[in-house]
Order: sequence, then C-alpha cells, then structure tokens
Amino acid sequence: MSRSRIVVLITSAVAVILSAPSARSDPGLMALGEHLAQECTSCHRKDGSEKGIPPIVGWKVPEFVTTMRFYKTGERTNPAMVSVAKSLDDDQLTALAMYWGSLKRPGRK
Amino acid sequence: MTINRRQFAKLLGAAGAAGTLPTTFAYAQGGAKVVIVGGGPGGATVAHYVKKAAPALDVTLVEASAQYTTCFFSNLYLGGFRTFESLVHTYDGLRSMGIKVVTAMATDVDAAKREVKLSTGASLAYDRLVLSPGIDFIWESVPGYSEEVAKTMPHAYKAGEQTRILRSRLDAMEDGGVVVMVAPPTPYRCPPGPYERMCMIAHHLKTKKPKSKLVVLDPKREIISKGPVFNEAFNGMYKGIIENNLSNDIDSYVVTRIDPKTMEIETKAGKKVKAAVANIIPAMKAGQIAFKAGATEGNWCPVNPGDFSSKKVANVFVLGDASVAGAMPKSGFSANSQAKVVANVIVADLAGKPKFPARYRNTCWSMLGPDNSVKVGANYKPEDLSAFEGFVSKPGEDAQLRKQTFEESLGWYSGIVSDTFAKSA
Repeated sequence: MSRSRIVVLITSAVAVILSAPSARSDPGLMALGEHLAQECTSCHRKDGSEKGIPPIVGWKVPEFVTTMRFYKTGERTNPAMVSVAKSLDDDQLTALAMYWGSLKRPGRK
Repeated sequence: MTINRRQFAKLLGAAGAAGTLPTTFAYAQGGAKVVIVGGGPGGATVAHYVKKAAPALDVTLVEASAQYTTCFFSNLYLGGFRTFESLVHTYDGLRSMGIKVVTAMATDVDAAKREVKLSTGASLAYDRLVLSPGIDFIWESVPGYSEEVAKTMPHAYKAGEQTRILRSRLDAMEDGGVVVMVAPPTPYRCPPGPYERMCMIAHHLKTKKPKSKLVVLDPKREIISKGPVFNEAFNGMYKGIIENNLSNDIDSYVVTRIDPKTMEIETKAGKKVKAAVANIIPAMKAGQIAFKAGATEGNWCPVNPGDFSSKKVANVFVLGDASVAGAMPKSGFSANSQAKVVANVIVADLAGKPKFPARYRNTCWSMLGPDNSVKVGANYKPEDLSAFEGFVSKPGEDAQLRKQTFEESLGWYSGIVSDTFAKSA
C-alpha cells in the first residue's frame, strides 16, 4: 500500500469516526442499515462464510465506509462494487457499516 | 432518491403514531394473508422477506415443483462444470420460518373475491397477491414445435427435466454430429443465456467431440448482451466450432419448419440443417397464471416501477420475468432485487412496518470457458427503471481477472440461493 493511500485511509477513517458517534446510538440508522443490507445479501452470504465473494460480516465501521469510498474514488476497481458504491450516499454507507459491524464474525479456522 | 437520518426518524415516528397507520394495519393484527405464486428467485424471496419482517402475517407460497431447479447456472451443468444436484434447492428453510409452502399449480385468480384457485381443488384467500410465475413458451412461434416435441428437441429454458434431456442428448451424440440451437426473439428470460449456452455446448464439443459443430439460428440481428466478449469467445477459443447465424437484411434465420422425425430445421432464408441434437428456444410470454389474473397486456405484465404493483389488478404485484421492468433484464438477480421492494411495501402496508425508498439492482455473470467468466450489471431508478452506473466486462481482459470473475460468480450463486430460499451454508 502506497504512503498516499495510507494517508487517505487514515484521513477517511478519522472522518468516519468523527461523524459516527451520533450514528452509533441512532436506531433509525441501524434499521436503515438492516434494510439496505438486503441488497448486499444477493451476493454476500449473511452467515459470513466465504464461497467466492468476500464476507462483509463484522467489519469495523471505519473499515467498511473507507472501503466503500475507495470504490467511489477508484482506489478499488471491482466494477460491480463501484456500481453499488456509487448508488449510496454517506448516510447510507454509515447505516450499512453499522448494521454489518453489529453482526458477529463467524469463527475462523 | 435517498433517505437521510432526519427523514428516517420522522418516518419511524409517523409509523408509530396510531392515528396515521395504514388502514389495513388494523385487520393485519389477525394475520393478513399474503399469497405468493411462483417459488423461484422472485416469489421465494418475497416469502422470505415478508415473513422475516412481519412473522404475524400469514404467508403462503404456491409452487408446482416440490424442489426448485435454478435456471441460472444450468448452462454450467451442460458444459460439465456443475452437477445437476447443485442446482436443486428445497423449501425447507422457508418452511422452518413458518411459511406455508404448497406444492400445486395456481390455476385461476378471482380478483374481486381476492381468491386463488389451486390444481388441488383448494382455494386460498388473500389480502395481497404476488405473482412471480416466470415465463411460458409461445410454442407456435416455431412451426412444428410443441410441449410434446420438446421431449426430443428440448428447450432447456425452464430448468429441470428439460436441462437433463439436453445434457443426455449431448452426451449420447456421436463425434461429428451437428448440434443446432434455435435462439429466441426478444424479450426473453436471461438475455445472455443463449450465448453462455453456446459457449458451454462448444466447450463440451471441443473437449469431448472435436469433430462436432454447433449451428445457431437466431431471428435477431445482434448479440443483445455482452456482445463483444461473447464474440471474442466465439471467434477465439471456439473458432471452427460455432457457426453463429444472425439475421440481417438479406437472410432471416427465423425458423419456418422443424421436423422431429428427420430432425430437420429450416429457416426463412432457406437454410436447412439436420441436427443430431436440437435445442429449440421458442418465443416467451408471462406465466399462464398472470393471464388468468388479468394482469397482462399483450404477452407481459405492466407494473408500476416504484413497487411492482400491477397496473391492471388491485392488490396484486407482478415481478420477475413476467413483468415489464423497463431496462431491468429478466434475470434471477433482478427478480430477487424486485422481491425485496415488494416485500417491504407489503409489510409496510399490512403490518405497519417502515417503508423505505425502492432500490433496484442487477448483476449477471456468464461463463465462457474454464476459469473464464464475464459480468454485466447496473442500478435501476425506481421512477422509470432506467439504468445508471452500469458496467460490462470487456474483450481482452487478462486471465487472472476472468478467473476472479468466475470465482465471484460461484460466490454469487451461493449467496443468492441462500438469500432466496433462506438456506444456511
């Protein structure tokens, strides 16, 4: 990972953390996240198992939001995810991150 | 269209205030009835998400087959990349949620009485009816073709026994035989499906029967999905195996006659081919029950793009292949996406749950050869179902990317059947 990418990552993570505290206690946002997550489960398994598409269960909020923003900015290139990310605004990304972050990661081997 | 935090809080507040609840909520307390006809990726997903969000609702899924065989990935079985069993899914997961799964044909709908009649003689009352019947064939679109003839010249475009027939005929064919595929006119289920099938049959021939050929007779003038990457495969790895006849101003490859005894197939352009194995995919229309319900206009069902409610019949939704869905292709992914919108509208209406703005999406993967897949996808606007932020795989992609796309497609299959049928691992 390049230094500039690390800087972007840290900056984005800080931005997310700063904007997140009110979100954490917002049941409306969590419900929105749960609803929007229905779109993710057309491909990503809800049990967090890996069958060819990366699991997204149990990611930390900043990690999730930053990754999705990288699809918007072109740092990440999978066209399906670029297409999904570009259809979501910041509130929706935070809502999704909160919901997926609230689920427990399955045990790793 | 998006919903922000403040709007959402307001929305929750509104739903919680008794005075503003939808009128239907009152009788929903007793368990309003949702009947869903069709147990594929559209109907099964509606059942799953309605029951999950509102367990008190009485949800019945009517499906003719006791187990569901997915049409998506059935081409991979033809190519030898997948077992037949891996395409078959039970309704056990949905049953364990408390959904009533009835194995029967829905034979009629009385919209005034809000009642569905079943082949078993029973009737089901509904408050909301969801029709996700998929497609039926217009047999006479290929002169000489019929449901009976399909037993020897399979369409294999509704997965199940038909898929097995086509595969066993390919397996039994002698090397040097000609496989003939008759491609369907638009609109039809799974736009890239016939082309993926061409690749899979060609792979089968290339690896097992190298003297054989695949002749395709297409009433259309162009490849209508992922054209450049399919052409790259037809002219590259399957060069000399596939003869793809697209219609043009001079030659029409619309089939005018088939003879199941001699296996001869003739087109308007006068081309005559004798097939060792024939795969005839006729024109399509909405599943029969949509016509009985009065939900059709022409061959398909017009719907309101915001929620897939029928434009023709009250309290009825039509989704998946049977619906006219703007730029959304007739695909399992589309049906699964539409189903989640329909489910949300139903639970908002019948159980007072919050209603969210509709979002639609589709992604379709197609396999070209070993470790070589491509994809196409987009989001769709709820106002008019037009596409935005779409993408499609390009010719010349490196092998590593194509392999990744193939592996991703396996992950998608595992994900969508789990999501549709409430299957665990």
